[in-house]
Amino acid sequence: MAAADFRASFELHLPDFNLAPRFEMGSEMAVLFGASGAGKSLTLRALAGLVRPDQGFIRLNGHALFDSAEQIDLSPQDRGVGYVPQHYALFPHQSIAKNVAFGLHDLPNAEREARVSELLARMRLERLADRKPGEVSGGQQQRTALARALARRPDLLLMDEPFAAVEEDLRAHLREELLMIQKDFAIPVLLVTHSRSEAYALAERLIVISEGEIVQSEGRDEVFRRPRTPTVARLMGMTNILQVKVIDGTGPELLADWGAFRLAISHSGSGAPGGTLTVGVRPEEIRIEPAGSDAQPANRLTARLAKDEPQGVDHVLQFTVDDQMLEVRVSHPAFMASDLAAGQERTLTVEPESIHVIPDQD
Amino acid sequence: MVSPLVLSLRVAGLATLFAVVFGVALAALLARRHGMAANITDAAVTLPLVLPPTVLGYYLLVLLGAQSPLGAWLESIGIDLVFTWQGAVVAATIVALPLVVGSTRAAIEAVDPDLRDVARTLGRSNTAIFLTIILPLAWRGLLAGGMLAFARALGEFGATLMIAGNIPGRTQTLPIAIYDSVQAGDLASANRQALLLTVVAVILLVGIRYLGSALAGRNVRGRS
Repeated sequence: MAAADFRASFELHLPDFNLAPRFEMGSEMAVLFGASGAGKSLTLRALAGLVRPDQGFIRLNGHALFDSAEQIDLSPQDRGVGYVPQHYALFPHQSIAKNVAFGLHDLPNAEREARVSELLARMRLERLADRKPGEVSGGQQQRTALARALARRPDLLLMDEPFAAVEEDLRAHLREELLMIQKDFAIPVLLVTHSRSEAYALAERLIVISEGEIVQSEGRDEVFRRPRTPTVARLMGMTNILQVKVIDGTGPELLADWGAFRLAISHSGSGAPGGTLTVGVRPEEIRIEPAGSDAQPANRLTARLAKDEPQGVDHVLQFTVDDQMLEVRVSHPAFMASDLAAGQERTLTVEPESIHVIPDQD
Repeated sequence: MVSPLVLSLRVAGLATLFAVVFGVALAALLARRHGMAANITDAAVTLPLVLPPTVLGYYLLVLLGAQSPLGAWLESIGIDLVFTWQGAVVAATIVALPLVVGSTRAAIEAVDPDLRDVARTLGRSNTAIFLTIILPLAWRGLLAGGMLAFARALGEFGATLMIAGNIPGRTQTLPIAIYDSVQAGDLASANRQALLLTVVAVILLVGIRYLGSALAGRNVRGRS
């Protein structure tokens, strides 16, 4: 089988919003990730042919689904694209089996029935075949919607927030299942989410969208570790974005000043002395030194605890460093061990490898 | 000679049939379109609801009479709508149409648009989607519209009198017969005829209630 190739680059102008996504992907699980209102669902709808872009192209395996230059605009019926909208949109008056069979109207009866039973078996829905969608669980509804979309053997599968209607403790299992299905069917799967943990758990490729534009599209770890813009950094949970002034960019480690503090930064490129750089630090990669510690690692900052927000098993601590803020995330036991209270001063340390240079501006 | 009751049921039944067929088609068109043409069509369909029936009947008489081009053309192909029971069907259809369009349209618009979108990505034509998804889900609204249309057509008086006249045994429907009896001072006949129409109306009401609760019960089961 030839490797799948899916690319899109188009513009869609609405009165109050401009969508201009541009990305490509292969036969892989890609997550279109962004804040709400970034244009994720609208992008999926355009790819499925449900809204028409003003210009640009959408190509799947070398064929144009849409191309404004060549005046091609295939209908949703002719695109060979499976689409699972938010909340699945199962047909409430039809049985699970009928829902799955809905797109197979042009197959001979015997073949249609064979394919429906095969899919019901694959999705573990055989015993629910005669039930209505309203009579089965959220996870079963999701699998029905998947089976219905896959029944026509699409060349691309689009899913909008597939886990929104599923209870939290079922999600991990369903994610595993979805990854297996992607491998089985070997087609590009593009799914939309606004949840970072979900994006991280599912994505091979992470396509980050912000205000209608794709700001980064790379392997998941690439995007997670090396966000290209401050927006991507924040979306990836790299909440500390600092402006530093380059002092010496010639050595193996770049030296830069952040306020009164000198930082050593692992950086392969070189910075011009006197120039400014944007760097990001994950809140979980900042260490709080024990009170009275006289260890002398590089990158020491004196900070005062301003606020403690417990978040589940972690504590998110807001420190003030001079007139700036630093966010630090520690586990609950670590927080208890540190014996910290608001208003106290501590030394924070960061490894040079944990400070990431963000190459582009927003 | 046709009795007023039989004629009334025939006229109302045929008018309901036409109103449902045209009404559903119009509702399907209007539900998804919001342009100038849609607004004008919507207004034209709704007009009989606010226009006094006698005025509507007068317009029909002018439009369908032999003096008008349309009337002349209809006459040339052997269709005579003035002072015939078929004319009464036309009048009743027009007054019943907005009731079907209104309730069917509301029911169609209440169907989740995602269902239609998904169905399109599954390769089905718009007609197939309408027949297999939209209509079965909007069925209650259509039924309610049909019942209202029948009731409205059955009670039609003003427009019918204008276009079809009051010819006993040929165009005299039950409401017109009641008026006729009262005019002639024949209160015994008026009582009998009024009672007849009341019975039909009550049966219709019970039918609407029964179907409504039966369908509601089905929906509840589907949702549990």
